[in-house]
Amino acid sequence: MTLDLPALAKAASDSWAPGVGTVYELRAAAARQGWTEVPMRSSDSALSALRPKSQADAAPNSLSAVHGLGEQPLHTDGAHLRRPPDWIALVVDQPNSTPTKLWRLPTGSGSVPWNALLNGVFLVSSGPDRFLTTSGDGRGLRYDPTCMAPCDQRATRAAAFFSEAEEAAEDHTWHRPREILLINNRKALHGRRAIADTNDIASRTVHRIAFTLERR
Amino acid sequence: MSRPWDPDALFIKAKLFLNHAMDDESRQFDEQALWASLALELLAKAALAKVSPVLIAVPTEEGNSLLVACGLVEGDVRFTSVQAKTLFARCARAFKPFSEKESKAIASARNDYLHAATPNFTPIPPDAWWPRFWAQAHILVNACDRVLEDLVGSDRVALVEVHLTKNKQNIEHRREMLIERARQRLGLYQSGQMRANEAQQWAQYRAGDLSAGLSYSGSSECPACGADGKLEGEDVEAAKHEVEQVSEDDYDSWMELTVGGEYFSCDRCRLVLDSFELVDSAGLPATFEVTTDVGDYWEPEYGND
Repeated sequence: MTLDLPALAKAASDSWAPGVGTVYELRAAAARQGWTEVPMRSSDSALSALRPKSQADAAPNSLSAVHGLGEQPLHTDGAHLRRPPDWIALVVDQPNSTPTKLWRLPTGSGSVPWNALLNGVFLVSSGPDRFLTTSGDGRGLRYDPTCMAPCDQRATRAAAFFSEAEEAAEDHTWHRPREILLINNRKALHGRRAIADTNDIASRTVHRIAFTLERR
Repeated sequence: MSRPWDPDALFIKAKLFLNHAMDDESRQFDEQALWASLALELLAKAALAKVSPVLIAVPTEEGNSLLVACGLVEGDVRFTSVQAKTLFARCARAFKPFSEKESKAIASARNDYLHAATPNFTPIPPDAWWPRFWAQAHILVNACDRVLEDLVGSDRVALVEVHLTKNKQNIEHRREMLIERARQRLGLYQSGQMRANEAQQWAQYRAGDLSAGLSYSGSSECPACGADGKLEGEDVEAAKHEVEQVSEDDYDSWMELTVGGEYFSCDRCRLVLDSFELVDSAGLPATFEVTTDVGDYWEPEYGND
């Protein structure tokens, strides 16, 4: 069956949606849609193979360097980039037993502290690049507590809001081979649960590709 | 790293500083005003840099900052921006009715608070200071092609609007006060009830003593006494070259200038309105026409004829 990326993107437009396919099929379908791949580091390929790593084995300045095999906090990918990616696709060839947790911004709810999200200022640190930004703007969300430090009370309130969201996160389990999880990176946060099954340390591989809709 | 002249980066830093000023209501007014005054300077930089980064670059002999701002030099060259007083002077010329006087007073209070032993930011009470601050900040936000909500968030817009309304009322009160006092003074003089030393000063006055000496002036009816007063301005908003044939081989040529009115004085009742806001509030024309010799304004183009 051919991957129908437009249908998958439509299903994931407000949060995320699972599909079936391979990295090859995904990249080809994305290219047909005019999506542009985004590397997370200037020296990296846009396609990353994410494997559980201890703090000692992790690349410096990464989520694993801070959280190791433990649970990652909810975050958007590429929060350290000037223009965060719009879509994140996670792809597995084989099932594994460590879920990816997901959380979507509530809709139609008065519980979202919009003024804190839109006006609280964070300092983003990524190697030599540092800049000020907010966790929300006209394009959507940007948040990663590992690289974003709150600078004022509104930002502290925004960080607390995302921290409290951990309790409402849902799990996506990787039970099927050739599975794709497409995440709207400007409307939903995600993170890997702690590695409870030690077999996953050697076998869990999640391929990640980030895409922007902006032509470069 | 954000480029030091990036208007968006300057704007978000101004937003951060205003968050510091407005976040914590338990913060002392002096500290709130300090953060706000720092934000005002950043807003001035953002507004000018949006037009061109060159407008905020220090023009040294080597021109490092200018070259970097123009994109002619890249790499690890230090960019230095001009001082607050220069920024505010430029904003006053570029973004009317931004007041150089008001903004420099804010910057001066900030410098005294930061660098001297002055224990308080300003002797002006908070209820009077914030309306004056927001009147200037609002003009710069507009010059950045943004709205107040972009700077302070929708939950704080109402608070800022209260200050802006108060500032408008303050200007109206000041205008009424100045006009009423001018009428009163003229009435006392005409009825012979003026105190002796005041009458002596009145008698010593010479026409034009209250003029600001700006480059251009026109005549306008005084809002206090109805006499012909002097409306002055520095900035030419439009210029038109007029030519008229006065005989078969003779032409008359002159310039018609439209000048922004920013200062009014009346020799009869001695009323002075010394800002664009006061001139505007008194219903005086925003601009006036001036006729000058062509040579005073420009030299005609070479025509090769």
